[in-house]
Amino acid sequence: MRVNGKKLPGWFVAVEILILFLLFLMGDAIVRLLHLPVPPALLGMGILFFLLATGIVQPHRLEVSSRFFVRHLVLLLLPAIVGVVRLGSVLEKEGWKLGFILVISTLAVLLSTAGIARLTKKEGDE
Amino acid sequence: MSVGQTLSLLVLTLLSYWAGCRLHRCVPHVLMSPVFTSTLLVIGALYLTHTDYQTYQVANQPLSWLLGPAQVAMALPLFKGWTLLKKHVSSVLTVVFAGTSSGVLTAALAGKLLHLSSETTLSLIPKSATTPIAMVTSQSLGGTPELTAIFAVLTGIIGVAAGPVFLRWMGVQSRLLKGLALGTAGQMLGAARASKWGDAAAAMGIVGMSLTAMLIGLVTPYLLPILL
Repeated sequence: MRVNGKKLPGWFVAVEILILFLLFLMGDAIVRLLHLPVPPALLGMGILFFLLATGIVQPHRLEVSSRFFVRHLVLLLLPAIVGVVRLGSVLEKEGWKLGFILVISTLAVLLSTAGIARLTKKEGDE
Repeated sequence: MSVGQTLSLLVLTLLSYWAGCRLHRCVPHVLMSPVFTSTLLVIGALYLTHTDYQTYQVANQPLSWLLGPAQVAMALPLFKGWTLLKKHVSSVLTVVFAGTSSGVLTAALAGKLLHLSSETTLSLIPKSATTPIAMVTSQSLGGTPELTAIFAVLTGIIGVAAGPVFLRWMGVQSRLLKGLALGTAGQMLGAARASKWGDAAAAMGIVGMSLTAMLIGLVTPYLLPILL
């Protein structure tokens, strides 16, 4: 694996993932201790962002794992996706309605985000 | 469950994913992406070996544990696009707020109009949030978290499969806006897809995803009783 032309050993990814996991656990612990209404993963993301912004963590340190996760997110979600099989009885009764609602509602989100953005003339800013 | 069975079910996921990626490289079409093909492979294998989903899910828990770190890692692309983001902060907030509320409202309204059971409707409402957040919110609304998890993932899949085409049809040119819209509509999968449009779009996708998750997790439990 190569980052900025420098060759990195294979175990590097494991170390990166371990660091990310610790940050996630840290977020989780803080949420539990302080009873915050914030999702643990988002807080972990916030902590990492803070560490990056203050320069404590260099961005290139996490380059490999970050790219790995983005590329192979489907792999991590696969067990949850296979959960469709459990929808059996619900699908039989309400299947087409559910599919219809999911599609319509998702298109509505896309339509309103893009539509509102156009009204506030964000379009063309690049 | 034996260690052998646990391992082989985990390997099943990895192999199916690998095969799905291979297939997608040969036939680069949205409908041939691993989201569909790998899923079918796993379901087929479970069916042939008479394995129930519960067993499969327990064996594959390690993959789900990685979802936490995966979301934390998104701080990096967010950091890269930060200067750009600061420039657009108010319009980004407006846009994501509009998108998220229309998602929640259409789901609630359509569920009522089509006479879904209230439990199913409540499970549909948090679907645009990232999977873990959607599940927690579903619980506090009175829905079924497991059902919501599947709806959330399906929403992501629909967003990624239909989003780019739909946005092109709408005539959206800006890559920033496309990224933001996909992240808002399609949670983690949408944000990951946005990174194909470059660093700036990736950051926008993550902002859309995070803000949506926060809005749904923090606001819907209080707001919904008023609406319904």
